[in-house]
Amino acid sequence: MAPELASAASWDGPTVQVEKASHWYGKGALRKQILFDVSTAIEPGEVVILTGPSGSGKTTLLTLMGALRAGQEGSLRIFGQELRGASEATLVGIRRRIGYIFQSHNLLPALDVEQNVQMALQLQPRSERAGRAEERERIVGVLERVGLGDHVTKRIDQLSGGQRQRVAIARALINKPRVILADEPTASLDKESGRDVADLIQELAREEGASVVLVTHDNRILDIADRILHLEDGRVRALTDAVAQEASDRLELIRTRDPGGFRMLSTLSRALARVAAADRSIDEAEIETIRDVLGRMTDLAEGEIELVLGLAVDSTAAKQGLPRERLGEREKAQVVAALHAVAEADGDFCDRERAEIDALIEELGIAPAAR
Amino acid sequence: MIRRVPLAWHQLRREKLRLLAAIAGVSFGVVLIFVQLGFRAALFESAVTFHTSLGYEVVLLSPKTDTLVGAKHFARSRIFQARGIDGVEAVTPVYTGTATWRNPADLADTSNIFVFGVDPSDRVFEWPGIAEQLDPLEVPDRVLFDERSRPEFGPVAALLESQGSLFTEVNDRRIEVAGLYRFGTSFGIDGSLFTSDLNFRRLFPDRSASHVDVGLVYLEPGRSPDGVRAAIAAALPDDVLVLTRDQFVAREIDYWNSATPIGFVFGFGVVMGFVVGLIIVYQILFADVQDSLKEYATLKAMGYTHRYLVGVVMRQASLLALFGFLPATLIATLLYGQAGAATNLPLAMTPERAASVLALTVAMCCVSAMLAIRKLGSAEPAEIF
Repeated sequence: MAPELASAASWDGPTVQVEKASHWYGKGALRKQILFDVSTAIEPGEVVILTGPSGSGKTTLLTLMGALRAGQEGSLRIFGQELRGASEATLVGIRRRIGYIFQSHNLLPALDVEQNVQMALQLQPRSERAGRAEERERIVGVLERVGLGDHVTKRIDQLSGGQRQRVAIARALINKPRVILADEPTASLDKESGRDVADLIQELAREEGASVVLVTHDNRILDIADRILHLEDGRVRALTDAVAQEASDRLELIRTRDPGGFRMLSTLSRALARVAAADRSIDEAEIETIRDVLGRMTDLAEGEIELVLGLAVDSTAAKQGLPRERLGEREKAQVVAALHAVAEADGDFCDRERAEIDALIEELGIAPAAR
Repeated sequence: MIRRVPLAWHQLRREKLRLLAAIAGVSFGVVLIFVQLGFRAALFESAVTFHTSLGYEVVLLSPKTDTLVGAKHFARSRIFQARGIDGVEAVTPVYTGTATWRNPADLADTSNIFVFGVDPSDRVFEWPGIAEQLDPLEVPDRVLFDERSRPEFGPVAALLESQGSLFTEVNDRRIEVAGLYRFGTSFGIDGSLFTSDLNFRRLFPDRSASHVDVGLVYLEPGRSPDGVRAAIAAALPDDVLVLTRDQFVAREIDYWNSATPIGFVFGFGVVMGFVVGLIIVYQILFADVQDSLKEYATLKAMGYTHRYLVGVVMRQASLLALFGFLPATLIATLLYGQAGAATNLPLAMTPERAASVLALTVAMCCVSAMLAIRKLGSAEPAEIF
C-alpha cells in the first residue's frame, strides 16, 4: 500500500505548483522535448482550463499533475509534495488524493453504477472508512448530486454518454479530492450534455473548494474557467496572442479558399456593425434580429452567419471598450501614446490627425483620467 | 462491515459466453487429466491384483522376472528349501502361462488367456469362490474361469448358467469350465483360468513340474516379513529372487511404469491435459485483460497498485480453476464408471486423486494468470491517456 500523505489534508498553499518543468519522451537520438520550462500555480477553488493545439503538451502536463508519471526536470509539487523523481509508491499515494476525469468515462462495464463509485471509495485507508450503510448513503448522495439518484443500481450500458460521464465525475468526487483533473471531459458528449458536465464540474469545484485543471478543445465551455492556460509547442503562451493568431489564421484561410465569400462576409459584418452600433451598443435582441434577417435574406450557412455576427460584435465591442472590464489607466495612456506616435511618424502632425485622434479617444472611451 | 467490490468475479461474469468457454476449457483439461491418472492408477492397481489379493508375505521369483505376466521359471526345489527356513509356515508353488482359448460361443474365435496352476492340496488362494471349488479341479481337464475376463472370451458365465456345464478348447485340448471366480483384467491379462498343477501341465505339456514361476511363502503369525525374507535370501543361491509382498508390488509397478511406454504415455496425457487447460485459460484471461486495459489503467490512475490488478487476475484464475474443477470431477466420476464397466479395470474416483488434480488445476490456472499478467504492464495510465 502507498504511504499516506500526512500533509495533504492540512496543506493550504497552492494545491498544484509547477516551476520550470520540462519533460522529454524517448531516449537517445529520439529524445524529444515535450514541455519547456512550464510554470504555474493553482490555488484552491480555482478553475483553470488548459488549452492548446494537439501535441502542445497539455495532456503530458496533466498527467504530470495527476502523478501518472514522475517529473523529470524542474519542480512539480502537489500539496507541497515534490513529484520529481518520486517513487511509484509516492505517486500512488498522490493519485488517491486526486479526482481524475477522463475523456471517455472508463467505467468498468462489469460493475453497476454504485460499484463503480465504490471502487474509488474503497481506496481510502481502512481507518477512514465508514460502515457499509454509511458508505452506501454517501455514494447515493454523490450520485444524487450529479443527477443520477435514480440510477444507482443500473448497469453502465444502460446509461447515456452524458450519464456515464456523470458517474465518472461522481467517482472522481466521492473522496472529496482537493484537486480535480479532467482530460477532455466533454469531448465524447453532445453539445447539451457537454454543457451540463462542464457546469457540474464548475459547481462542484466551487462547493468543495477544489482546484480544477481541465484540458479541453471545446470552446463552448471555456467560460467556466477562472484562468486559461494556453500551451503551444510545450510552452505557456499568452492567451491573447494565441486567440489573435488563431482568428487571423482562420480569416486568412477563408480569404484564400473563398475570396468572394470573404468579401461578402467582411462587408456584411462591417455594415451590420455600423448600423447596429449606431447607438453605441449591441444587445442580445439586436443580435437575434440580425441572425434572423441574415438567415432569411442571404444564402449564408449557419456557421457563416455566426462568423459575421462574431466579427460585428467584436468591432462594436472595441468601440464600447472591452466588454468585461474597461481599460486601466496605464493601458489607456499606452493606446493614446501609440496613436500619437503613428500620427507623427510622417514627421507632420496636422490638425486633421489631431481631430481624428480626439474622435477616436472619445469613441473608444479611452480618455485618460487626468487629462 | 467494510466491503470491497469483488472485481475479479464481476469481470469474469461480464462475458457470459467467454466464461462458459473458459469453464468448458478448464473442465476439458481437468477431465483429460483425471482420465489419464485414472487409467494409470487402474493399470498399476490391476497389474498387482494378484500380488495384493493373496495372503502370502514373501515371494520367490526368477531373477529374470520383471512382471507376473512374463514370469520366468526357476527350480521348484528352491521353494521347498525356503520351507525349511525358521519362521516359514507354508509354501505354494504357482505355475503361470498363456494359453489359447476358444470362445465357446464361436469356436473359430481364439484369444490368449492367462492360466494359473496350483496344487489344490496346497494352501491356496483366498480369492472369493476358489477355495470351495478346489475339489472339481482334481478331475482332469477342468478349470475355473474368471468371470471378470474381457468379453472377447465369450459369454462364459451366461452359458454356464443356462447349460449347467460348458466345454471348450484351451491349447487345443478339450476342457470343462467347472466354475467361476473373480479376478479381473489388467493391461497384461485380458482374462484368466485357474486350475490344478496337474491340469496345468496337461494344458502345457512342455512344462515340467520341477520348474515353477512364482513361489508364495506364508509366515508363522507374528514373524517380520523383512527378517524372514533376508533369512531366505541368505540361505538360497542367486538363481532365485526373494521379495516381500511390498517389494513384489513395487517391482511390478516399476515394470509397467518404466520398462514399457505405458507409464510415459499416461504421464504425457496428463501433461497434455494440463497444457490444453493452460492455453485456454490463458487465452481467456489475456482477452479479458486486453479488453479492460483502459479501465485497468484508470484504476491505476485512481491510485490502485499494480499488485491489486495482479490480484484480480489471479483471483479470476482461481475462480476459473474452481468452476472448471467441479463439473470436471463429476464428469470424470461418470466416465470412470463407464470405462470401468467397459474394461473391467478398477477405475474409481478417490479423494486423494481429486485433491491432487485440484492442486494441479489451480497450478494450471495460476501459470495461465502469470502469463496473462504480463499484459497488465501495458495498463499504464500515462501511456494510455
